[in-house]
Amino acid sequence: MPIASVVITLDARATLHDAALAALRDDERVEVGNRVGARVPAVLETRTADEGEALVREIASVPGVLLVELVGVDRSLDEGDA
Amino acid sequence: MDRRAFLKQSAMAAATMAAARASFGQAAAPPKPTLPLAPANGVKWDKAPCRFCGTGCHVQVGVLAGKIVAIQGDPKAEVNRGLLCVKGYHVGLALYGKDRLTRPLLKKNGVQTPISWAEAIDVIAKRVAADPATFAIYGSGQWTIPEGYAALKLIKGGLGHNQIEANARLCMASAVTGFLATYGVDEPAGCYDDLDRCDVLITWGNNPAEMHPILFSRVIDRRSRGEKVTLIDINTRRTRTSAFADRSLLFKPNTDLAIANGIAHLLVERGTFDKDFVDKHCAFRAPDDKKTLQGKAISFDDYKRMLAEYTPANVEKMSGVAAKDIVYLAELFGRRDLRITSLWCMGMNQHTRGTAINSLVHGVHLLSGHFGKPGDAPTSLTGQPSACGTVREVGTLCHALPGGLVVAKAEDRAEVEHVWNVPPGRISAKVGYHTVEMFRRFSTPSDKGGDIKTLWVQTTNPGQSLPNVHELFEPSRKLADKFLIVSDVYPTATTKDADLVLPSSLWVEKNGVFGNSERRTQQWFKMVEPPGEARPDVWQLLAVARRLYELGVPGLKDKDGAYLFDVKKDGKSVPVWDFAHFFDVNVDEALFDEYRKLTKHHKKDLAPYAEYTRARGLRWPVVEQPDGSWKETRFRFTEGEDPYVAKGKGVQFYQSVTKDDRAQIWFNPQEAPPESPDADYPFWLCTGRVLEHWHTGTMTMRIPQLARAMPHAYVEMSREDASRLGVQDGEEVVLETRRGKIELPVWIDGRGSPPPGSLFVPFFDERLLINELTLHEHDPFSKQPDYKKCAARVRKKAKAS
Amino acid sequence: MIERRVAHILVVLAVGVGAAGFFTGLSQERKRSSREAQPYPVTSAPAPGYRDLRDMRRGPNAHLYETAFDALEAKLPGLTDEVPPQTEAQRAAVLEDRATRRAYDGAPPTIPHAVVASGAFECLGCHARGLVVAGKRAPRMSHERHDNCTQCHAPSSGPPGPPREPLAGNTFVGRASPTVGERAWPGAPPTIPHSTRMRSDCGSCHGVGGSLGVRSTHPWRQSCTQCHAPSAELDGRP
Repeated sequence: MPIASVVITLDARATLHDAALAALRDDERVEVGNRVGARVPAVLETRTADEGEALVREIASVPGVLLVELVGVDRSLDEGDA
Repeated sequence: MDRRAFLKQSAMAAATMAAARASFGQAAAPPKPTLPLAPANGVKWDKAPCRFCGTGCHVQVGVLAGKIVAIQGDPKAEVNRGLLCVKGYHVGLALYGKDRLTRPLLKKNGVQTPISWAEAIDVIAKRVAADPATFAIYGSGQWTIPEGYAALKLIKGGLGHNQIEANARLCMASAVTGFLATYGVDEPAGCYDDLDRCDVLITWGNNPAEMHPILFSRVIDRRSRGEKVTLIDINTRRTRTSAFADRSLLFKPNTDLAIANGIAHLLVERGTFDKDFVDKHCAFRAPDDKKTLQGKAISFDDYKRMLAEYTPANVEKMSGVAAKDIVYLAELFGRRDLRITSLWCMGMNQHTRGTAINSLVHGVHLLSGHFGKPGDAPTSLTGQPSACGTVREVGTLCHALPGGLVVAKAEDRAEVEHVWNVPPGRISAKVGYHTVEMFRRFSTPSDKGGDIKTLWVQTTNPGQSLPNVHELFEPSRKLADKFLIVSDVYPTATTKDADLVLPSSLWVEKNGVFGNSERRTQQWFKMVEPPGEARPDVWQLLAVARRLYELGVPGLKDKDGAYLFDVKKDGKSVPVWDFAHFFDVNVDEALFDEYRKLTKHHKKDLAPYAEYTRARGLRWPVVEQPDGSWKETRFRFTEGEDPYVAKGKGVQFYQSVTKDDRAQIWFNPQEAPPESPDADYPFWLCTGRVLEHWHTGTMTMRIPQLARAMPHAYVEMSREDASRLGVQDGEEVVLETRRGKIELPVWIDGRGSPPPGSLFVPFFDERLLINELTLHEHDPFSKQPDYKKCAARVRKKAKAS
Repeated sequence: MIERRVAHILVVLAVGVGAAGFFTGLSQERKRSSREAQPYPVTSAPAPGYRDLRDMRRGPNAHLYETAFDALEAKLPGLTDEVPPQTEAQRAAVLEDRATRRAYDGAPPTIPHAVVASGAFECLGCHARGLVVAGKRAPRMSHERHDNCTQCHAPSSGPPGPPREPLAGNTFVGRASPTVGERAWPGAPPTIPHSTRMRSDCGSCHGVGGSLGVRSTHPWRQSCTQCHAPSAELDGRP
């Protein structure tokens, strides 16, 4: 179960902003943290690394999301899942 | 809380911290600095070698209205061909930090109080005159050649003892002993031209992508031009250099000797060594019972037998480098169709087995014949702009005299006494204290054997750069009869508690000559005025010397009763000790041209000063040609390049310790380090530098572009260790060794990535002084301490409740 | 709309580059360390091979990114497209913006964005071509290719950790950015008002992706110095 820390940068336009946040909150794999300006910290928990990578890409394509930056991935829980 | 919840919470904290840091410049953009700007036109340009590292790039300095306004890489310079690194491009800013020292300061009742230069010089001279034997000078590889020469002559010629050292002892003394043990004479045979020709570049515990970026670019830019260069990085952590490497071999700290022996073992075992080269030019050597630098001669069969245990499998066990990689390295060295250059710097030098590993790497090159052809070279790099030129060549060390001469030899002393025109016996045969010993005695009460009482530090910052400063430096500041004089340009960890602080001119605020890592001697002229009352270090030395002469200290007179540093112009003595007349004559030229008379004995010939004013440096030996021109030498000991190699010899090690033109291939065994991680201190701690900062950061930390890119020190840690300790990227932890502790932010996968069990801390940050933690154990021959490995532990900071 | 999609693709790229590195790199490292007690396991893994770096970093979807770059490049104006009218105010703004990233004119600009710099391809992805990414201009390298990019270009932030005050300020006053070239008569080609050192590719600033204010009105003409004379004085040539 890889746990990824990411920073999501949102579009400054308010409408897109809110829609994007709502979309993120709907995904149970995503835990959204406290916003810092236009930047939102989040934690992604997925079953596999591939799924994590796909999820990052998916979030990046959500309207209102400008940028997703990967801070780090903790894989200490997925012992032996390879 | 279960582990998963904990990890998620940690991950969120990391993401939040990252979000708060501006990164893409979209949110929270840093405020735009408004820069004051000078006009674009009317700039006057002149050449100078860069002030920072030992690479020796030439810069063009742009001056307008008495101030530096721009820097360019010098396209005429062979070293850097118009390119610089980020430090070089910003070197001009080093002069303009707001807190430059501008007045002499004498500690009165515990407070550093401004005094006049005349008083400052008088204070020093009176103290020295009262007790010359307990006075020592400590300088650096940032001394210009004339500065180092003047300091050496003052101590050895004027005061008749040998208490002079320089910080190069901490940085490249083991390279020197490695050269001496192997070739009988110091400094690399090859040069930077090797980097244009090598097929394989091996970096031994070295990170040139950050520390010698111009040399690194010189190699990797060949790749973008379509040339094939194989880069092999042998290191204890992954660095920016590793990122460019074709193969990166991680080894357990201190086991580089096993790797070198493993290569030699296979070359011998498989018969792939260069038999012809070895038969003609080499002999074998191993440590003797008395542990001398010369060791004892051994036969090839002895050598083979000693190497026998270094099989690939055993080396893998010792070093952690896979057996197949040892085989790979040995196969490369076994090939005659490849040109192989090795580079190393502090990784091999700051090592309690520094001399041994230096000799072994030279040995691998000699054994395999990868020597003496362009691109085939074992090349030791230096960290300071004139570590070679001043400390090694001038010889500002407790055992040395100029030009490779030594105080231990009567004929060497006589030669120098002759050139200085001082009476026979003036130079003492008794070797002075090496750096660690000098500071130990300065920090020991005088009645307990602390027989260094007055210490003059120039162009360096031992309060930060010495190992284990708690023991070697700080106690001196509490002893009433110890007097510390520091010449510097900025307040530092050393000036902070000094008894007398002297403001110095910096770089192009004075004339100068440096000597770089490839034997290249480089000159520049003064271009701008120093701030306030700052004055050149060489003037400070000559003024004190003159005051000593006036006080009647006998050594300051030569045989004929003249001032020891008499400088003449048109046959008349110029009072250069009087600052008003200092620039009436070029003091650098006078000192340099006297010094060069002493450089011929070991065939390190320098040209007259005037030649260097026209060149972008010349590599010694520089020998006069029949037509009156002066020719430099690219490859030493190689026929056709080195004028001292006899015709038909091919390669001739004419300075051989065995006087038979042979270089020594050494065997040195792998041994355990003085301190290794254990249950109490489970980590290896390594220290070093970063691209943006130069040494103790006194100059670069005052350059906004560099300070912004690297504002503070950190501890590099593997992600595995961080997660095991439960610490986040950026979180402050307590780092502790048996000698001290500091708090540092953790950087995971930052500039470099150490393997689990290993830590790295840069030493540039005076607010986070890592040298309070390092070990002062040193190499037995070079006396150079090991900053690269000691045992440490890390714990989370206690939560403030 | 297309522009937004391009931006997204690029984002994927940036993240993909990072993620591929993190995921693959980490899985190898972790396996080694967690199974073996000794801190220095046998490591014979090749370093990220310089020549392979591109593919290794990009993973199996490398072709996607190529398309992304192509798409971004396609967004740039053509060589013969009409250049909008440019104003003195625009030029002043460009010069001011340049000055914030340089200690003096001719200094290598500092990097205004975060970097994960371990090789050249991170930089060259955008800066080898010169692209406009999400409204930000990533200029093409103005000089011949050098791969150790961070050798000269300093990032604008350092390691993580609590901020610390700088040791001391600096009073250096750098040479100003150039303003305008001289014209022999109205309508004559202006001289080059700045040093050309490390600026052999005029298109870096003045090409089709250049900021308005300094963009060439005739980017199809490639031999710039044929008409625009450099200055020996500004170049520091004798």
